[in-house]
Amino acid sequence: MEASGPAPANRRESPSRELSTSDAASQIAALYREQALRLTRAALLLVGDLATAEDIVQEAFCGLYGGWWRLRDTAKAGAYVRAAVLNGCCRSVLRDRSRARRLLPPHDPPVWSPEAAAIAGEERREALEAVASLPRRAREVLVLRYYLGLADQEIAAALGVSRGTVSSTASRALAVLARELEEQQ
Amino acid sequence: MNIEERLRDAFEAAAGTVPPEAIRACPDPPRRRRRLDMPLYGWRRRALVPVATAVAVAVIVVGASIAASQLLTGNHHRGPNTPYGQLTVGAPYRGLPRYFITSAGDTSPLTVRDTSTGSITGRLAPPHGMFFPAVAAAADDRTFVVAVEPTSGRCAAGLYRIQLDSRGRPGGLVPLGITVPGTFSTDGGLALTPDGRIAAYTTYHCGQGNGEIGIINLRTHQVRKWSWAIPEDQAGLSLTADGRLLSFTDVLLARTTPPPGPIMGIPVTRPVTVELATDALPGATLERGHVVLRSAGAQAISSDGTKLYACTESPAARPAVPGTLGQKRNQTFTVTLRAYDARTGQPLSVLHRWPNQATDYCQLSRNASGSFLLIRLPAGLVWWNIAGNTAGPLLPATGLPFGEPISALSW
Repeated sequence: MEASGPAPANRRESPSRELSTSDAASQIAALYREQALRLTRAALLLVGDLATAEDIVQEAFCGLYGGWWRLRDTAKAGAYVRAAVLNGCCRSVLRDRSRARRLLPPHDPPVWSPEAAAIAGEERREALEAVASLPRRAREVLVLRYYLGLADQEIAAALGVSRGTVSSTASRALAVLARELEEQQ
Repeated sequence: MNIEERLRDAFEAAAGTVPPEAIRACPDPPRRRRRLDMPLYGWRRRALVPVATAVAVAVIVVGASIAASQLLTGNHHRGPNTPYGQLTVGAPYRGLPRYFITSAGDTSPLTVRDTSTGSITGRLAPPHGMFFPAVAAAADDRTFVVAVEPTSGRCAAGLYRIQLDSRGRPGGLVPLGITVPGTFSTDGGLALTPDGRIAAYTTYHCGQGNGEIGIINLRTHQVRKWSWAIPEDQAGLSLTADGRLLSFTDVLLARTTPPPGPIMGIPVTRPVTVELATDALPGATLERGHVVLRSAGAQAISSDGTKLYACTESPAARPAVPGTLGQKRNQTFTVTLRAYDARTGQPLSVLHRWPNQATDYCQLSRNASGSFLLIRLPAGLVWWNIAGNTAGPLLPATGLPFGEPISALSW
């Protein structure tokens, strides 16, 4: 990813803008190749089904096209798109779809459900099911920390909360998980 | 395999169900019409001037009417916009509660601080393998009720009383003989009436996807509880002085089925504040509760039950990339404290604004006697004098280690 800032103040179509447009498209395409799989998998862990996860990631990258010119530092496009995926998982219409799935008969069972049977190992499925029953913020913190491997500071920036909140949310979520999984055993 | 390793393993296994070849192609850039460069013909050109004029007139009329109504009703902003750093930090203020307690929500000790100096007057470690998820204060400035919960094993919490001595040092944990099922909510999961007689709590039932709200008479141990959708963001419980009304914030009322009362039937997806008519236990009815606000975050009801205080956060300027969280570090936010009619949710007045906050965060706790609000902003802790309509700083973020997690806050 090129670290230089976005182009120029002239927002009207111009030769330089045309050149930068194709440049931006290629940079976004490269970012997509690099991160789409991992982000889709992270979104899957948050929303439960692949179709919704894919929609969220696609929406995030579509938003990146629109917001590219306002990015002060294009090197931060990865952080932008990660935050957009979190928004998509939790704050968009797609979240409502995921919520509706809890109220309506599911078409595509969540990846952690016994019906999905996609994950080898009952213990893993139980762990994922326990994570799915946690509050939203706790799920986000756990996925960002233990799947994407982000530091607490990065998680705090992505979620718009303090580092202390990340730390306390994670420790409480782990305590609840440990308790639930212990009970199941 | 410990819980963290197990989690990583489960996440990798679930992620592995998505093969690389399942990923769709990169989306094409959205095609947009070049509106600025597109010449206007026919009716568009003819309509442009009248439409622009009508919009301008409408904006002027609406703006003028809002300004006039605020001036006439006195609902304009009373206090100055107060950047935290421009005030005398830590200045003592008469009438403030003497101490406040914070809990990190993990196995670290409860911390008691003097409100006039910010200094730590005492700490109280939880019993081995336990933590303090919630704390609430009575009006005597010395008595606090805390929840004590095991970090693993049983999904239930015990309620204990703590008494501070004259120098703010906590005594031991005195069991109240009350155990509540579930694990406590993140913020404001416990509230107490000023006399310390009635407590309200909200907990989440481990693994069941729902929670409960309960009202307990701490003397008779009489409990009244309702099953409730889990408050995901913050519970923010607060009780009126007589324990008759309880307010709290819930984001997913619509999820609870079957609906036990009228509140539950409201399909709500945004944070709301609902108020339960608890009637001090015996006649407590959920059916009399109602949704007061649909957009507030942290909130607290006044001790007489007539007003609701809520803080909201708004970006000070257009974000670098609208609608994203990742850019928040580049912009500032204004936290606004407002008063609402607790019965109708009608906004009454803007009480105060704190601009130049680094993030959009606000945590709010009313003191037990109902005279002050303790507000946690990104810049630090501030107080709001309810009767005097004045604000002041308590501790800046640098004084209270804000990397230190605060799960529970009470005074």
